[in-house]
Order: sequence, then structure tokens, then C-alpha cells
Amino acid sequence: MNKKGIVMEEIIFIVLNLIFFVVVMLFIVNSAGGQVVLEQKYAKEIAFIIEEAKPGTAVYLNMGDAFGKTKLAREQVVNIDDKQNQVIVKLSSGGGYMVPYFSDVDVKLEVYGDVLFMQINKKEATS
Amino acid sequence: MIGKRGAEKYLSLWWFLVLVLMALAVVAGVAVNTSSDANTREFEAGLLMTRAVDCLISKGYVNEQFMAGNFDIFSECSLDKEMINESAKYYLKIEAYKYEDCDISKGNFECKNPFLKKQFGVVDFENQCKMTGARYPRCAERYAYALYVQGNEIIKTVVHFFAGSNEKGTRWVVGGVM
Repeated sequence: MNKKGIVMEEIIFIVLNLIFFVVVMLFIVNSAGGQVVLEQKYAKEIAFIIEEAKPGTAVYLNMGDAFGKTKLAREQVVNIDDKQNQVIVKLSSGGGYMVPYFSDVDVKLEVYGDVLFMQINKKEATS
Repeated sequence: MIGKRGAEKYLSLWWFLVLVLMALAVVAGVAVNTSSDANTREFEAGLLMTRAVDCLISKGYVNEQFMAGNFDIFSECSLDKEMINESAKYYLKIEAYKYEDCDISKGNFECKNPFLKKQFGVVDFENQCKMTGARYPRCAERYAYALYVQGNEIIKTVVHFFAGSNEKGTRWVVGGVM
């Protein structure tokens, strides 16, 4: 094999390796910011906001990165179960992430564009 | 491999196997990492403790009704009684000591003979929080100086707040829970 052939051989080898590692890196970066991670992140963040907030508090939370990764309607992404006191965040119809909270409060949710609006009020006594 | 051309040399079965094994290892590592639960128990224990402090101590005075035993901490502090007492994931302890019964000479609080003690949730969290390991709860505590008005008397007290959490969150899939 001549010198030119050996150089080409090395170039092909390096290019193939680069392609492989770029694909692996893209997979890792995509997974790190994927639906599974975002569901857990926002479920816990919302639960902690509810636990920390005093009744009467209003909170705006930007969820643009999560809303951009789902085909569901934005109003369906965050759900509050008032009876079980838990937050459910789902970015796909196949499942989601649940986090219970220890506060006994009423939480009203509204979505404005990328922003989730939460109004946390004292729970009214039920007879 | 001597004498083989470049493409044959580097796209051989062995090299292909090496790439597949590396890819599988990366996929497995990422899957384990993304599906694991972020450890937020200590943070949540701190939230529960702070909620109790904010609810029971105001402007340096501890709530008189709480000290007198006529206080429902759950309804007054907007805490879920069922979640804290029955879910087996939370613990809250509040102890009140007379100031004279506490020794803070070494920088640490060492108090004895609490004249009031309330516990809610899993009492054993106090022992479990000392253990290391992902399955054990995490706790947070704080000592607070406060004045207690009893009749015409003002008593200097130290209130000890101790909270624990073992809430990890749950991944939910259609048809069941993971």
C-alpha cells in the first residue's frame, strides 16, 4: 500500500470514530433533557413550591422547556389531585411522575403560554 | 490484518462489536441515571420543619394555644394530617424546653426535660436518619429561642423542631406504577 493509501485509511478511521462519538454525545445530551427527566424535575419543583408556600400565595413557573417536548395540550401536562394531595406531571400519554405534598391546600392551575400560574389557597372545610 | 484495505480493516466484525458494546454501555448508563429518583428528601424535611417554625413562632413569641395544648397543628398550619400521620413518609417533632434547661456553652444545644413534646408521623425516623443509605429518610432540625406568655408571666423557652422525610416520588406508567 502506498503512502497516500495509508493516510486515507487513517482519515476514514478517524472520521468513523468521530461520527460514532458524536452520535453517542447527541444521545446523552438528548436523554439528559428528555421527557423522563423533565417530568420528575417539574413534579418535584411544583410539589416543593406548594409545600413551601403560605396560603394566599401566587406563583408563576416557566415550563417552556417541558411544553416544547410534549404533544399533549399544555393544560394536560400538570395535574393536581386535591384528594390525594399529589402533583402529576406527564409529557406523554404513556405515563408521568407523581409527587405527593404534605400541605393541605387548594391549588388552582392556569397556563399562559409557557408559564404555569399557581394560586395556592387555604382549603375550605368540607362538611 | 496486514495487507487488508482500510475499510476492511476498520469495519471488521471485531471493531463493530467494540462500537456496539460501547453504545450499549452508554445507553444502559443513561437509562439508569435518568430513571433514578433525585434525592430531595433532606430538602423536603427542611420545608416541613420551616413550615412548623413559621406557623408556631411569630415575632419571637411561641403560639400560646399550641403550648396550652389547644391547637390543631394540621388545620391551623394547613398540613395534611393523613399524609403526615399515615403515609409512613414523614415525621415532625416539636419539643419546648425552659431556657435554663438548655446548655449552649459548647456551641451545640443540649437540652433536657422538655415541658412539652409533640410527635407526628413515623417516630423511628429519628433513628433511621442517622443511618446512611438511599432507602433511609433524611432529617432537618432547628432550635429556636422564643418567649412564651403564660398568664402574666413571660417564660424564655427554646423550641426544638425536628422533621424527617422519606418521600421519593413515583414514576407512573399507563396500567401501573413503577
